[in-house]
Amino acid sequence: MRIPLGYARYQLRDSLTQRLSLPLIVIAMFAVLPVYVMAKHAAGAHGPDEAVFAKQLYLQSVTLFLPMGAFLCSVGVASTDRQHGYFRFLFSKPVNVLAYYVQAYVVAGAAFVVMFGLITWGFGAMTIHFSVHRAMEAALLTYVLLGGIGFLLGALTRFDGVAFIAIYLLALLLQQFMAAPNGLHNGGLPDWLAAIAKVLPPVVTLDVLRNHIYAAQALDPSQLWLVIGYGAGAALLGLALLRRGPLAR
Amino acid sequence: MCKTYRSLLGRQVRAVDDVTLDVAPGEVVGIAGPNGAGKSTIISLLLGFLRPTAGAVSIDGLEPRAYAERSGVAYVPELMALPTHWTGEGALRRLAVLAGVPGGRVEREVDRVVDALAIGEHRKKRLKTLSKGNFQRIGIAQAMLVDAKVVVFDEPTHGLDPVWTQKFREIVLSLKRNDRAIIIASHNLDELERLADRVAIIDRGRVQRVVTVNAASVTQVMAYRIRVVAGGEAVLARFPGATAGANGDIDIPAVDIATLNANLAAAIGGGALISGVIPRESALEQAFHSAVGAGGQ
Repeated sequence: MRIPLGYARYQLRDSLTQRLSLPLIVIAMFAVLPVYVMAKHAAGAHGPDEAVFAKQLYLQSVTLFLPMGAFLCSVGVASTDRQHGYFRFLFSKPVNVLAYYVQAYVVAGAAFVVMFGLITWGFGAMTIHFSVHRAMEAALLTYVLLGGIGFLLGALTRFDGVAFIAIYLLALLLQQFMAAPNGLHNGGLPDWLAAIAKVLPPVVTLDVLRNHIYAAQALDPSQLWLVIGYGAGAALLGLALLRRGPLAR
Repeated sequence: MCKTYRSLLGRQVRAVDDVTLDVAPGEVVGIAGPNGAGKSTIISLLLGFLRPTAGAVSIDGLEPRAYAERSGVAYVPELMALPTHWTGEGALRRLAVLAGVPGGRVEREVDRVVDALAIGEHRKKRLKTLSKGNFQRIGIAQAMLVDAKVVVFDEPTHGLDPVWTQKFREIVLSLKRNDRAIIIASHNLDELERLADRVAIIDRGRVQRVVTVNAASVTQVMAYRIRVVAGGEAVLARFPGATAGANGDIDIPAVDIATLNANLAAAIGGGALISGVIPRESALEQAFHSAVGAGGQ
């Protein structure tokens, strides 16, 4: 089986220029305000208000950037080539199709995690310190779950972007409902909706884990394995579909 | 092999129906057929991009995807689909890497195919700015990056100007090798007649006929157009049913080669001056029209 390792640099370039450029713009917009506030004060003389402000903005941008970045890095990995017919050029060459897509998925994920680490480091250097390794752990966990979902949907349908957004929002809505501390069984959701919420990607559990990572708290192993298992299972199912299904539609 | 598509409503369309075709190393085989005949589906099955509903495809004893992943296939698709923000040389570089060209040789190989297809002035342009013909030349160039034993062209001269159509023929002839099988799917019967050893005529998903090209025989019966400079009446007298055109050409009905030569000799003996004898339809065109019908092309 020939693995196109030499092609990884092109896949990395595509990830950075086509997939991560939009989230970078978003995060830069979030970064401008706290950096400006901090810059008004002398170095090392940040007051507690500025530090809280910077931390809040950072966490808000994380909430937005991480799912968006994982979405943009994984959606299209397995669908664009087939949708546009590029596969005819790529896979007439002596290349293993599965190895090509596994590599594309891993490279996009690595770019996403490292980029987020760099952003955190840069943001921290200009405002207050944030743990870079915790930021990268959170990004990795997000990519494992949401990236796996994106990859699976790309193997299933050409409408993977729309499907991803619909599934993510539905999961978020239903699972937040279920987790509402209102004392009702399943948060008041009917059983059939609760059953749907349980089979959808555990995005609320992911949020909980991410908050624990940032707070340097211990992670619940069952929650951790649920998120990792769900994402990895989705990615493996995507690979199985790519192996079984035709490249041409 | 067969390939059946099923719509969401359950309706079945048989795109390829019981097709059997062998291609030997050293051979150039054409696939001809009208639009929608199943040519491109056969090519997709051959490359493993589609799987047959029934039957099997094998290349050198392997399932097509396994063969392509092991050895690669030089393939020029009908649809030139590459990301259009790539430059010409960027596309060739990427595809050279995928083709397994070692890192140190990529630039040299790209230069070689750029020179062969004379696309030097376009190599730094984005693909979206290229004309259809130049884009097609990039497509042919990328196929030449692989030293493949299976070469597949799907409508290869589509979009090429006459000069490059002629050059493409030279390229195909230069690719001909004893250990290499070349398959060309095309509408262009003239092109297939010049390049192919055999042509499979496909219609409604079936192989209607396989024609061995350029195998003229004394029993071959064809209609001709005779270009006459003087003495047309001598020609008309020798060929019953012949008709004179406005420009002095004479169309004669189908005759075998022996009769044609004998009657022409007699006409020349009777004072006719002849500048040319042209088949009104080539053997391939005749076979195509009888296999596909008048509405075929």
